[in-house]
Amino acid sequence: MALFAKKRKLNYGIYGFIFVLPFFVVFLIFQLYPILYSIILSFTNYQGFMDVKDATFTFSQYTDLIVNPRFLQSIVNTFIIWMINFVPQVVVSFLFAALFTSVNLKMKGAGVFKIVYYLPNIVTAASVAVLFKNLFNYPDGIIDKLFKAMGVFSDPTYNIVRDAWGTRILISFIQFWRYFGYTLLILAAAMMGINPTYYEAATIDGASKVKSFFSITLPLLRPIVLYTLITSLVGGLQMFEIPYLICDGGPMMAGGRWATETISVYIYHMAFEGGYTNDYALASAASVYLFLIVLVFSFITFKFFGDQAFGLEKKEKQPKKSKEKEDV
Amino acid sequence: MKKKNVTARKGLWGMGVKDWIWFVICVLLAFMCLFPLWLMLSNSTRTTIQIQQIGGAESLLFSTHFFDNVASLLNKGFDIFGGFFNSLFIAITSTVLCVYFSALTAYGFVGYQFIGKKVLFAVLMATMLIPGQLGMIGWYQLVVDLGMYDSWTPLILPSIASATTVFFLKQYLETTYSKDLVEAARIDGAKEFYTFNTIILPISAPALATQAIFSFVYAWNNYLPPLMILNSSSKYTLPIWIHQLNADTHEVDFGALYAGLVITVFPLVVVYLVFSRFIVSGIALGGVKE
Repeated sequence: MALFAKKRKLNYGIYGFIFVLPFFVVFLIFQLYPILYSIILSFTNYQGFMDVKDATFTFSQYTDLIVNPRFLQSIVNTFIIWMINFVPQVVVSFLFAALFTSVNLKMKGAGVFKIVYYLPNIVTAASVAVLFKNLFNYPDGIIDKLFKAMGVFSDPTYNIVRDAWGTRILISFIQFWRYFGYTLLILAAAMMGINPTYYEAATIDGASKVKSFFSITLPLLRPIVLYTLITSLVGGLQMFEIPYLICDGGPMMAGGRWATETISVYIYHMAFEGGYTNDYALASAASVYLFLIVLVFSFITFKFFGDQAFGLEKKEKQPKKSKEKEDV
Repeated sequence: MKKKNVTARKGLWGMGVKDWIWFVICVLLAFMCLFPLWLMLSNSTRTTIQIQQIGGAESLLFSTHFFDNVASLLNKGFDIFGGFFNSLFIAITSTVLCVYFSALTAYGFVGYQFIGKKVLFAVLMATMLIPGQLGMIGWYQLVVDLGMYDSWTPLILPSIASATTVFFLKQYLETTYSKDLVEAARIDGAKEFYTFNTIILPISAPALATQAIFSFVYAWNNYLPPLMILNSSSKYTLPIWIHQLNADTHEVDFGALYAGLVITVFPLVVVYLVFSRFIVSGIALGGVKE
């Protein structure tokens, strides 16, 4: 009887495998194979004009890139732009998430505000970039005119996309504009999930609101902060549309470096644009460096915030496990 | 406790002084979100000369030239409506594939036990951390090698393998799936695939709806992959038309440009406002891994 039951289960198991199969077939063809192909190309001298079969092995792209000032600058740019938008984004999101979940505040319209704050996130990034570029455009952009009238830009001939820091700050602002609503919603949901009895206990013990924020809210939110940090980092390091469409990675700086060329824009320039031969090998090597940077920073983030996150994940996994067994 | 309640009920609209301060700050932040979009809309109704001359509060008002701008866009060869329907087709097919196969994959993981399940799920999770750009050049080469250059297939087909959607649907199914439902169907002699279509899909409907919206928005906004592989203008999607508009730098027709932006953004905003409650709660569910 028991044996028979086991056999039946195994028969059903094969359906599980069949059901997940399409995902993995497509994944293998369109995701894993391109990744492996890129890695292989990064070790060749393959360029657009040659047949891929004629490409030969070389490691020189990797060594060329680490001393290439334009590539190094693109890494620096990526981090500058990410930092200028991520830090204020998290601060603002935390503040407003706390506000929207606060029990004491009787402010109206929180639901509408949430909807409005998330709106920029769904708007096509390419359109957003072109929109901001034209609003800040000198001399016809409306925000440009407004800022000059208000004295934000003191020089009447100031052109934001000719100024390295001006363009960086503009791009960072657009990233902030697009993502703070998303981060806010995620943090607010996590705060709602905290058991209110913790706060009640803290109040009874005489803890102030600020104190309970730092000793209850923050520690319990660590996993979600980690999640936000990693997704924002992985996303931020891949930033492409906004810097590419705002100023094509420019303006130029001394020594052939570009002020807002991110790693992704650099890869795209090398592979497809800019009067160069299509240097697929160099672009692939740059994408491998990008991957390594993402790996290192994800690892550091996990190390730094990790213990709590892992602790919680373990706790979450256990009930799932028993449930799976039950469901077989 | 009592004191707090009393103060909270005082004031205009039941909000105290503190609530009002926060309310004003929230309004300012909302203004920051909407102001650029408002300017986009108002500028799309003005001629280029009006846009160049205008300044100050006037720029917030609407004019009457929206359709002139659209006509000028079409006259210049920017087939924005062709792009609109191309985008719509790609977004809808991608969404259907993404949601259906993600649900199937999620059910495969939740409803069954098979060898290698844990490893496969670990692989799926790991793909979420890999930056898409790593495979960019290889993907381009693959598309060329398969003879799919300048076609929509490589834009649509990969949506079958969306790890984040599978992850979300798996989380959802784990809370709603009950073995009894499926067992009853099995006793009645239902095939597994039939069970999925008639039982699992309907019980996942709320989660599928949320994910369908995200998937649609993602496909609609997709920019870099079509930029790399689409060549003939009859196949351009809206973001590629925006790219072309942006590249058209000599004698910029600002009115037409803003009209083009409105046409790309407007459908999304409508979809968003209709489904906003779904979307806002969907993000909350997706972010909190419980």
